[in-house]
Amino acid sequence: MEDFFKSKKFKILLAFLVIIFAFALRGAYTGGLASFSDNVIGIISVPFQRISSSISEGVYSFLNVFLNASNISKENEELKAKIEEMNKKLVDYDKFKRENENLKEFLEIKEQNPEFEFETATVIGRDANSKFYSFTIDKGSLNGIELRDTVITSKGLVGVVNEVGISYSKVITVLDASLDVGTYISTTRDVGIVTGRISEAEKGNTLMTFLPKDVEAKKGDIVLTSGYGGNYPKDIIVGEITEIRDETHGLSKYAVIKPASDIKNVKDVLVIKSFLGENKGRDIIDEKENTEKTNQK
Amino acid sequence: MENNKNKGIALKFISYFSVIFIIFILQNTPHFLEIWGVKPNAIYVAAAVTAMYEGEFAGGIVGMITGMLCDYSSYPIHGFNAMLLLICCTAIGLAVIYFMKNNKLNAFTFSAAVLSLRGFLEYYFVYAIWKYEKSEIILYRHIIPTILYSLLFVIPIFFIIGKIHTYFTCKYSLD
Repeated sequence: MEDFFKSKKFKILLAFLVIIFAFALRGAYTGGLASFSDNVIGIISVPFQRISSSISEGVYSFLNVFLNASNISKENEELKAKIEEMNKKLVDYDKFKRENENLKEFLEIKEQNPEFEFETATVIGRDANSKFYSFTIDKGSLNGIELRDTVITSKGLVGVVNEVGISYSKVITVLDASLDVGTYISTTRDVGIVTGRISEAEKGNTLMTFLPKDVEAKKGDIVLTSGYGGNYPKDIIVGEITEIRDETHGLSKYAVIKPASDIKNVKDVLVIKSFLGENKGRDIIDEKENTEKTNQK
Repeated sequence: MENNKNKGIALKFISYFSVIFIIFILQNTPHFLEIWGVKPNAIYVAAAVTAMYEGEFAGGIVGMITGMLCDYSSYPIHGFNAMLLLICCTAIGLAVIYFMKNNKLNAFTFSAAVLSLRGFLEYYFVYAIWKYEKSEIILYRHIIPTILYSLLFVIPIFFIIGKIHTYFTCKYSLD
């Protein structure tokens, strides 16, 4: 065994280890841009992941019929004649119906926000080790997607793009403890930060923290993005308040939020590539710094 | 004769990587193999078993490439899985050559060790070290069930990798 540590093979393995470590440091420094190896793997695996994802979706939908057999059986009794006729068109109908519903919802979003530039995407993979339901979509930098682009569905905010490859992107969700979103409550206009907590992520919930002690918000109030800082578009629905609790230190309160989007089962998303006021906070800070430098000179 | 042997080695490793790639696609497919929110990390088992059959150098290379596949799909810092599997698979290859037998029990042992190491390192560096509240939930609701679920795949993967190894070794006289 000592011979192995003196051999050429050991030196080759050590060289690979050093190279991977260098890439890891680069990844930590650049933060979010996919490495060369990830791009190569993405180009190869994305088509296979798309196929596998659609097959799995078909099987899941099929099995779901049997899990809800009693309800469907009652419905089948009442609509037996119509179902026999519709079954003939069912194969293409389900596919086009879902596509049509998605496009109608996306059109409504575009009409309400004409300045949005967005890209539709499909969820093709969910990390087996993810605790906050992060996922991979089938669009990347080739489609104009950039780091920190906001990801939504027709129902509301899902998360942000955390890593961009050529043909894929990774999304972290609003359930993630490392994501902070500036928000406000629609009824009381109180502002806070939506961020994940592990215990609540299990239940599919997230939290709105830094609420004042005398907050008047109640269960059922809607939480929207505030747009401060220019990281997220304004007035995107985040979710609904289910409970308000005191923080352990007693100086403020926090609200438990049920996200508007079904984070665990989302299949089709919209990535907002640009919006009015994007990076507005950074632009103002940069302008201020430049003015101060000019005054000092 | 030498060309035939090289062809056999190339085909053998193409077969290994095909199996590993298929496992990777299946374990990342939404809903597939998911039980109560837990999915297996069978790709780690595949890398460990391959290292048992192929020794320290080839095992290390297979482990590194398998780790790069994991890094592509997962959340923690890039290179984490590649470095971990390179080191672990090299160690497994050395252990099987010098100390331990290549059998199912040891396949369980090595797979459990690699999965546990990965799980606890991820828990510590991604969650515990940042002092997230109730981060221990991650450990006993996700990491440990993932390890146990992944170990269910040791026997079939050991069988498949073993069959590939035996087939090409016999056909191309690789020993």
